[in-house]
Amino acid sequence: MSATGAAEASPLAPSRPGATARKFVRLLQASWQDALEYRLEGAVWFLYDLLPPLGMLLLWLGAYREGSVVAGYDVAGMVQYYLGVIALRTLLNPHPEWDLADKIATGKYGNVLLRPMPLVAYHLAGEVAWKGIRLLWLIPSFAVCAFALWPYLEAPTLSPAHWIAFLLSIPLGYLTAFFLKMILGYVAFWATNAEGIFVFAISIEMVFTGNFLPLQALPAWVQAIGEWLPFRYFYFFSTQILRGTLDDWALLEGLAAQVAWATAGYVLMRVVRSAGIRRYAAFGG
Amino acid sequence: MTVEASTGTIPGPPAWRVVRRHARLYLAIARYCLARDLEYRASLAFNLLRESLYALLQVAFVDIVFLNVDAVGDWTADRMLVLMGTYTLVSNLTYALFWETMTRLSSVVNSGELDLVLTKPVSAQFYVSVRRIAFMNFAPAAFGAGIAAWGMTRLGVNPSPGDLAAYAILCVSAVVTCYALWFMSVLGVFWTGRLQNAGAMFEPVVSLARVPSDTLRGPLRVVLTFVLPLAFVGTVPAQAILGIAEAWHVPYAIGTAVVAVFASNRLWRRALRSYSSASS
Repeated sequence: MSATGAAEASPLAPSRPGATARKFVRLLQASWQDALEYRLEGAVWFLYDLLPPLGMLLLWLGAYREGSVVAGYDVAGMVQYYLGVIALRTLLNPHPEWDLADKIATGKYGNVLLRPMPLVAYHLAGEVAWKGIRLLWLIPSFAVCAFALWPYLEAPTLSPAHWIAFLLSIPLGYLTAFFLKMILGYVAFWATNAEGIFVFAISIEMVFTGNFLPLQALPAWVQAIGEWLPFRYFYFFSTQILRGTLDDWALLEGLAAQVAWATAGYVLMRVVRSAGIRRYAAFGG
Repeated sequence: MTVEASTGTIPGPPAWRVVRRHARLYLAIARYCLARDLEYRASLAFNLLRESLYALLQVAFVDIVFLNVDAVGDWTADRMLVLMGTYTLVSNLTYALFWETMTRLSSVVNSGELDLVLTKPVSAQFYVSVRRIAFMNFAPAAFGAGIAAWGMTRLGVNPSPGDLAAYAILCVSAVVTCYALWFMSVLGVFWTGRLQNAGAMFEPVVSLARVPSDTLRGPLRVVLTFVLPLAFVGTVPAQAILGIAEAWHVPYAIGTAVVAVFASNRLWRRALRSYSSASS
């Protein structure tokens, strides 16, 4: 039994890495079946990733004049930014907190704790499967948007370093968001109105992830606050890599920040979860 | 037996009595919902704050756009305040009146709770649509009205009584149209079954109403004006109070609201024919 596995798994769990991987794949398959069955629900949630940024893009398109540049973006750059946000947000923004809070509030989390596999793997499998369904909805929607906005599109001309950084930023951004939202979900161990807190968190997230506006368009003092928060590393950093405006040092700096935030998120998640589970033991029979 | 089911078989009471009965029921529901919300005052205060902050953020996002540009089409920053205020007012009035019922309708159908509703001596569509009121959303609606008024003050525009009347009619028509479209979108649960979040579909769709419809081009402008008339949620009422609406806007909005409610009732009746109860 590995030290990592022993620390991560629930008390009853045998945690050989190979066994955990097999369980993860099985759970992924089961979650995929579940997500496929509820694909129409996935389509409704997908609208939340698609339409608000699309609305902001339409607003910007009405604002651009001939040759104007806004916050460093020409009109084509702005279109590409929002299309990037739609695609990356759909795929990289997990939402484990809602299910987590529901299970904690209803007492079903006890069943999760007794499952013989690491908790992170359990939650990750469900989230990844649902992202697969979102991808099914994203592809045709993205194709329609790309067709309508074709005159503004051009293939990014990036160096190999940029492509490598982009590919690395995808899982790192996802894990950063995943661990931080798990912490948010664990708030339900203490709060009865966790949903209200989630809506607050979504409001803050919308500002600092660049979902509605590119961060460069925000007032300077808001940008300064955003520098100290993890949200920009969810997917905004990846959109900036695709723009090709970051130099090699900025790429390294961004990737290092993603690793740091993901690691801090993981450690903090475990601390919060341990404290929460001790409290949770007081409920149920 | 529902009113819909009884029509044509048993002579019903006079129309004025039906309207009076539904009005009294609605008042009783409003009193109940208010009492329920006031019982949990801390939660109500938190929710009021949350919804107001959320509305403020939506307005702030658009306002920030004007830190970077002078205008969106013909819409200057102050005009956009009027549009965003109107959008916030109309959307939150719709949420206040229908959010809880629309988001619960799926579970009402899937759990078989609808059986009980159908036995009540009132219109089933009326009952499932209005039996919960989210008072917390009246705060952001008032906030939206304030933002619109602030924009009018900054513009120095004094609307005439006719413009104010047109604005009120357009806002009410927009709420009614939004309700009907939302209700029809939720009815899909009768056929698909597994669509628990059908009620959540409306929020991202209506967010497109923040875009001034006259800045859109091509088929999208036609769709958002005539097919899915989101132009009448924000842009057109704002134009009315600014005194730049066109003569056909008000009658068209009223007609759209009437047709949308009629269509929602027809679809509801059709959906009920597909309903075979879910309870034991």
